[in-house]
Amino acid sequence: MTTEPLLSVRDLDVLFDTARGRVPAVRGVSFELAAGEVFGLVGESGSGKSTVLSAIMRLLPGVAVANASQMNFQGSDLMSMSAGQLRGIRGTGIGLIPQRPMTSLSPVTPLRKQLRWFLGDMPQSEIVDLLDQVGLRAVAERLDGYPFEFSGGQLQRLLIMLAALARRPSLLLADEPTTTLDATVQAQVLRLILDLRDRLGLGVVFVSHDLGVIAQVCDRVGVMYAGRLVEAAPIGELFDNPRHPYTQALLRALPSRYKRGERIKVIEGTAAGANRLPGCAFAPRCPRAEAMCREQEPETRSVGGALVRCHFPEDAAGANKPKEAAA
Amino acid sequence: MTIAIEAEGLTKHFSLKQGKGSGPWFRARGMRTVHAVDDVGFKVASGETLAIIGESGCGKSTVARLLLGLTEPTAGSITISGERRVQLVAQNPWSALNRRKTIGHALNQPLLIHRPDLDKDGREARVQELLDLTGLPSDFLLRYPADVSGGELQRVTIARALAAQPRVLVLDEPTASLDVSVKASLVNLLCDLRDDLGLTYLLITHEIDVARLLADQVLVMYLGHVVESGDADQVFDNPVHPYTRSLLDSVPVPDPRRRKELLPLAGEVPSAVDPPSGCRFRTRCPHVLPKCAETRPTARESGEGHLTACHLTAWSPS
Repeated sequence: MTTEPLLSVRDLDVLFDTARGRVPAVRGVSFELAAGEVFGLVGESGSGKSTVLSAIMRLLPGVAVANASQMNFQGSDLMSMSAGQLRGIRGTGIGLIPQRPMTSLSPVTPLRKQLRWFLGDMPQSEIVDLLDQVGLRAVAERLDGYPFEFSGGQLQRLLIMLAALARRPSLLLADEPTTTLDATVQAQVLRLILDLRDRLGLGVVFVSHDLGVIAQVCDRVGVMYAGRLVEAAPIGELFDNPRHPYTQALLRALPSRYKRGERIKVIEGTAAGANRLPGCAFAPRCPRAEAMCREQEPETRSVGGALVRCHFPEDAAGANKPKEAAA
Repeated sequence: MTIAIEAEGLTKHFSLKQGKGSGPWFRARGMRTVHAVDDVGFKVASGETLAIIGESGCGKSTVARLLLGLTEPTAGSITISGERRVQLVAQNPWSALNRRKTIGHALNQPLLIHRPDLDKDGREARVQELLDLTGLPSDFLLRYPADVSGGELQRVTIARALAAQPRVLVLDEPTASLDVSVKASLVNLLCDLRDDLGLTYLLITHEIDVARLLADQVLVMYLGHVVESGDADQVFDNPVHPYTRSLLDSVPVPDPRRRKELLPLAGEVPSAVDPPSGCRFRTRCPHVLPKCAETRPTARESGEGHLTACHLTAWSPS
């Protein structure tokens, strides 16, 4: 028997109505998330990874049109929920950790008041207890202060407390939660998110452009390119045996894989306009592309332990590697 | 080996005046001094790259500003030998360029100031040279900063920095917040330019993987002090100072087989207004000794050309 996933997204499309026509930002993205699992979404700017999070929260701007054949959270369909039902889910069922803690808080309101907006009349002792759980005991005495009086790491932990602890949601969406933090503080915050996952059994969708962070925290990962999920695999599988040419190129472009003075193998070309191409979006930059790739959109197929959206996934991955037994 | 940049006893303190604000942060403080950079020394050989690594508030950007002459040292000196030609590549290309002016304007402006010998044709030829050097197409000249991508815009700021034919480039977080593939091609470009033009780089970065690729020498700073310095391979492969070890250990490795314990340093960097006595890292150091609070450790050799300022390692055999 398979248990129902915590979150199930099927064929999610998001279009933005702009002056220059409809721009597809997310195209046919499908994935599932189990409780206690960290699913990473990695991709470059404009690949649509943050838009996926906004779509799950149903917080897309008015110019966006979202469609999905299914978007279930704990068995109920997020797409068909009323505004009132969504308010009951946001923050309570699904918590969101934003990218920039500083701009997610009001700069002109003391923290205590902002906490009250979210926590209502929760007793002070409970608030202190929550702060303590994210290592912010020292901040409890300074709550009359304004956001600028705290460090980025402190504010981010405060937002994690609000998102993950205050209302005990079962799903946490993290949008580049450590991008603006220093390395040692980033390590603290990542540790905190993983501890909360372990302790509360949270499911986490973790969006990042940093493959280092993804490798350290995720159980499974999806690679996005031009609005498409081009590859999804368990974390070890993706790094050991990338199958999509884009994933391979991305891993080859990591500075940490080179020595001093060596030149990095870059991905030629740009992703601009790739979301409007008729065939595979990566075809113009792909070293293995054939005529078929430029004309026909590849379907998602299962190869080994991975889901890959490529016409020639095995060729791409297995040139010098033993073939995987069929799954 | 000629020395391109030399700093000795470099110190920069900023005075904070009595605040006019009303928050407790203002009320609590009278006249205070921010110890941004304290007694920093280094030499960079011509054609080499010195990377200064450390976290926010460690003083690395202040060192860059001192080198550029944008602020005067409180004590000590920082000098560029020979021709004093230094240019800056800033972290954020969007704020480094005037968005109401074309990219061609941005590239012509330094030539008007630094190359009065050139006429209009001469400038045009030089601008084309700059575009070629940085791998940008000619049609960029008529475009505006908003019309090009972040990676391309950073190439424009590099081209602009090269216009005045500097010997030294200060690279202040040149690849921060850029995508993997864009970052890779910029790092390659910086390598090529250094080799082809014989440039000397002072690289300010928190990106350890980028520093590893570019740097010959490394300086690790914490709260205004240099805690460790030396040959890049030595510092990165055999870090000695507890802070350097923690810093390198907290960098997420893009390899799921090498998952770190993620048992990071506790706490945060203390305020530079009232830095800890003795060793400034002692409040977070897992190996702190009583004497760390009493005296500031002096830098000692922990290998050839590898200096570490730590009481714990000062008397250890290595």
